[in-house]
Amino acid sequence: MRIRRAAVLGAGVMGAQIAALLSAAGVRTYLFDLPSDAPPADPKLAKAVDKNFRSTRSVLAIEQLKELKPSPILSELTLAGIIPVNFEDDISVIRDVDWVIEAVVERLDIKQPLLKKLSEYHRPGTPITTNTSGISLGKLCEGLPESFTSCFFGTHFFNPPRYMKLLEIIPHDGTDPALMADLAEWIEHRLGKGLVEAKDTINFIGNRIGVFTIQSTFQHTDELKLNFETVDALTGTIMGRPSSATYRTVDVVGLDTYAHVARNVYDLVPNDPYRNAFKAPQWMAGLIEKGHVGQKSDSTGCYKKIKNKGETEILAYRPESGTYEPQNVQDFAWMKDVKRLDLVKRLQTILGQNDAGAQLIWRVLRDTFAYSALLVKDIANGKPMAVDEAIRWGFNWEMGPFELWQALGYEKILQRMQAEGIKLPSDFDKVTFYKPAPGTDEWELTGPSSQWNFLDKSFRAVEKSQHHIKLPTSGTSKDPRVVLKNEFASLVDIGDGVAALSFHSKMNTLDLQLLDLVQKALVVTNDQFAAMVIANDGPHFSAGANLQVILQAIMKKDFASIDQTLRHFQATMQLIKYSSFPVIACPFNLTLGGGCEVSLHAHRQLVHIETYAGLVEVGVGLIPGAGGTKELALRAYRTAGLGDTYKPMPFLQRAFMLIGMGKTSTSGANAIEMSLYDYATSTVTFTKDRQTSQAKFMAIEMLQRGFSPAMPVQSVAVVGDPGIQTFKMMLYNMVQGRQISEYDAFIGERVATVLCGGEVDRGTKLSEQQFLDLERRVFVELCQQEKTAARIEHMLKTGKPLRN
Amino acid sequence: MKPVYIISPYRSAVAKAFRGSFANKRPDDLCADVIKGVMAKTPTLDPALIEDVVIGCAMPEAEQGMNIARFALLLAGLPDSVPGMTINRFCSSGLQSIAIAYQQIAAGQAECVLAGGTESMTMIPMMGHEVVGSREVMTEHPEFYLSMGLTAENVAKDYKVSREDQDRFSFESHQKAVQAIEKGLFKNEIIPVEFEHRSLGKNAEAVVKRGILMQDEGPRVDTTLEALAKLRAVFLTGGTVTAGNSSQMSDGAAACIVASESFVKKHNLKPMARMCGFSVAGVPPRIMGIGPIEAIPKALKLAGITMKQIERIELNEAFAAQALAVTRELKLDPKMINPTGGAIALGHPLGATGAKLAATLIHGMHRDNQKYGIVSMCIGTGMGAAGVFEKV
Repeated sequence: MRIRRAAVLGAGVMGAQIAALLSAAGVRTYLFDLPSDAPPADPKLAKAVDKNFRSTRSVLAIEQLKELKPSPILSELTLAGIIPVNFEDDISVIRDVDWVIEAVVERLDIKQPLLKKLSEYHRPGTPITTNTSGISLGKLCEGLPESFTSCFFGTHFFNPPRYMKLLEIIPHDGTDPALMADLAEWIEHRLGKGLVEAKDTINFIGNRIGVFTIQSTFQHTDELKLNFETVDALTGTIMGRPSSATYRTVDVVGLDTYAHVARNVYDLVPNDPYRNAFKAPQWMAGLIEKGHVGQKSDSTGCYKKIKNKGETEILAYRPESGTYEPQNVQDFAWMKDVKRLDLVKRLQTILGQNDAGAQLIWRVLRDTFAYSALLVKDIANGKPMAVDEAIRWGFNWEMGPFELWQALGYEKILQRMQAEGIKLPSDFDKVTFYKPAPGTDEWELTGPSSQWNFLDKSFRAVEKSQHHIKLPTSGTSKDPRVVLKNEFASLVDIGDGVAALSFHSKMNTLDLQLLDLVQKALVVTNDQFAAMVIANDGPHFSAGANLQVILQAIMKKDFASIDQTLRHFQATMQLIKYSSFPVIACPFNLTLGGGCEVSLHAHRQLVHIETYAGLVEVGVGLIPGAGGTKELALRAYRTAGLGDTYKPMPFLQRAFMLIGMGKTSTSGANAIEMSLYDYATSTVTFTKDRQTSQAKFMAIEMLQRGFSPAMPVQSVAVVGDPGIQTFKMMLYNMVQGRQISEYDAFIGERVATVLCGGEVDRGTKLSEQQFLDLERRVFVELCQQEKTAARIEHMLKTGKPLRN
Repeated sequence: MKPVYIISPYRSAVAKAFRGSFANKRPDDLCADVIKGVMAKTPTLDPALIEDVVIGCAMPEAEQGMNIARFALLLAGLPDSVPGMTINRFCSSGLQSIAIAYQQIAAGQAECVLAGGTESMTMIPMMGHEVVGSREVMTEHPEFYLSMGLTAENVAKDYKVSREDQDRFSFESHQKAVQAIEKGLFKNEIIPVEFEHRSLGKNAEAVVKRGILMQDEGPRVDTTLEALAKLRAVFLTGGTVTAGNSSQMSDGAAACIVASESFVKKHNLKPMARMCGFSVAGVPPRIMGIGPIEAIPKALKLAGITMKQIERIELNEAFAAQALAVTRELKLDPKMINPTGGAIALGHPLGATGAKLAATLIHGMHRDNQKYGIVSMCIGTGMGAAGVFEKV
């Protein structure tokens, strides 16, 4: 399937954001809304709308994308590719598009006539999907011709669509399965979404189970007489869920919106035995009545943000008194100890306790398990994995209900539920949900090989996409593909002569032991493979060098060892850069400092769209010392060399801003647009699941085209001391204007020193190695400063930069 | 010294830099148009008798490099025999060029010189296209490189000029300028200048749109004290100097004829003023804005008159902070300063400003029948300049 043009109907918050996502993926997207009869009265708006006042609503929706937080804007393409149109003048556009997404207001009486109108313009074979989160699809397309209804199904994006991986795909009885599968493949490949097939039932999978969990938490909060903030402390990261937990999540969503979703379930599931759980609690109704609906109403809802002597304080609501009080999180004896445990061990420990906190966690888990068990047949075609994936991808839980239940001990949980009189479907005392791959007891490798299907009551193989190459996330993996490993990284044979170098240290920080493996891996790849991919399936590409090690050396004043370490780092990066085989880096999520330097030294970067990359060393009082400063400098000089006159300063200034301000990209595309990655060597991918596989194909393609290794740069004419003085001039004014600290300027001057090639005459010629020597000299100089030590210490303690 | 007269002081309207009418008008073309205008207003003057053309320009490079004075005079159609020189003393360049002409004539070295200034801040950024720092300066005297905005902050601090006072001063500058335009007070001093904008048409042909600028673009009818108060300090975090109480970036040019008494008589010229004194002075670079405090008394002394005799002052409003500090330190009567608004409203085309203010001052003194007036300004890296004029 090829989607070159799409139409999104309804320029609400969801519609506009879906359009933004499509547009960033290179799809020309028409954003429809109701027509306007006159230009807006506000002259500023009128100017924005210009001549297209008939489509004012869409124009303004596109404008508002700029203000939304978190930002839906992935790249410069995002806004350029959305075309504002209106239902009245432009409806015939529908004939030309390859996909139509309906995202208008959630009302049957509005959606139905719109779909009828669409059916008149529908090009046969074009998918028409609805983003409804609650209305039955069968009803929506009732009475429309078969050529239309066969192309009609649900594509339910989660908010915010840029960031949420889940996309529920929902057929109705008449949907053409082949067409749906084609679009599903396109969505996964090009938008990077995780697809879960749901049945056409109320609120589908994610919202049905997710909302139930919140409702059940409300109920147990009340029964166990706990306050909101304590429950949020319990139901957040401790349970492997987002830190916004329960009540804060509701504040973010909006109490009114949330209550509407819950109410929808209540109204439409008369036979659900848990139906009463979906009733909004009284306190919530009360708050909504007062207009206190959370973040959007002056941050007053379950919590209230106030200013107290200039300090922001967040008070918590007390349903019993109807007042906001200072927070008072109840402490439970086990709380401190469980934090260092992994999720399963943590919950197992907690379930062995019996205080109110442990009780709450148990009861919420118990109810969620029981409700999922009850519904899996009806909402998820009997597949536990559909429920687990929907909850993981749509609500950012670490584990979904079934996999968590099984991991905690299927029998144990079942017995405790039964002892408490929880009713389960009859087939539940006979099975577990997943079986691991044959001959192994590790899910980590490839996930479960089969899942119990509750509809046909048998284990069915889990379909594995050929595009998903999974990489080991620990050194203890028994993965037979692993060629080389230590605790921090592995080299994995991913087939077709390509090896994957996968980091798996904590946050994938880099230290000498990891570098040792990298060096060995380069040797092994040289001997046994044709190409290397640097990728991993952890949470981040790499958060940078291990600061702890640097700080220890600073404390011991062992600067010689810092110099030695840096030599090792630099040499490793150079080995990557000048390897005899192609190396492709796959940055994603945090790609900072040393991690970013690794990616900069690869021959190509296949950048995931959600990449927050940057050379952020100045935040800890250092400069990129593993060749990162050198790389940006060399690129600046090389680019300047393309001109008839050689003027490196403007390019060096860009590099200086990137390093000196420690700029981090807002997306993968942005990392290229801000020229951190070279547009000539880097490409963006939307799908994390396929990133490794795609990188492998890139490597193969490079080999087939005839890859020839590069040679170290021998001679670059630098700007020298006059350049440094020019940067100093800028820094001086920033200090005088109190925009940066004296020490920021001190570091900035050192960044400039490397970029400009040292305090030498203009035009002096330097080799790549001399740039590395400068990097090291400056890095060690900075390590000798007390303020750098203070910055590193502060970062390690608080995770935030210190501006001293 | 021989008396020296100013004939035909005129200026272009001042356009906003970047988005204004002169954004694509080269400063040499602009200057040539103004010279043509000055010549047209001086019909009895044979151009071949002009002995030199002195043009001030603060960033004489790129479009305004190549000795722009010579290019501008040739473009204006003056004969090949007329020489030209470009001079630079930053923001006083346009006044300095008149002063050089004045000094040549007073010393008996010339009879008739054309003087003026031109600047396109759109085309050449402040500090020029390529700034290169000096090791010596950065090591020993970094304050030489202090940005102009920060020097204004220093002046505000040293001379205790409040944010409120700066904003009020700026508001009044706009009010005065708007009223002056409404009353048509600038009509006599402005030479209409043609400009063009080029874009690509439907058939990929260049489409040229032409216009004539006859009115200053800077003054804002809708400026309010509240709006000015909301602006954030741009140079110093937590400071007082904002985009609203600083001069605007502009494009413009101005020129006049400077001649001896005998030359005026012989060629039947109609002088509008006599230049009676000019002076420059140095001050610490970190508070460059106070330059006029030193320059004005010096110039008055050279002119042999006292401050009491002065009825009108065009004091360049580089920043409200420094204009107020100068006014207060010299105990000047605020009413006589910039009665038709200053650079905060009307713009500050660096090298053209001195000649532009001279035109505004001299035409203003004629309108209001005033005898003595001053043009003065502060200058980057810590200087001040002042010129004293007598209406004739």
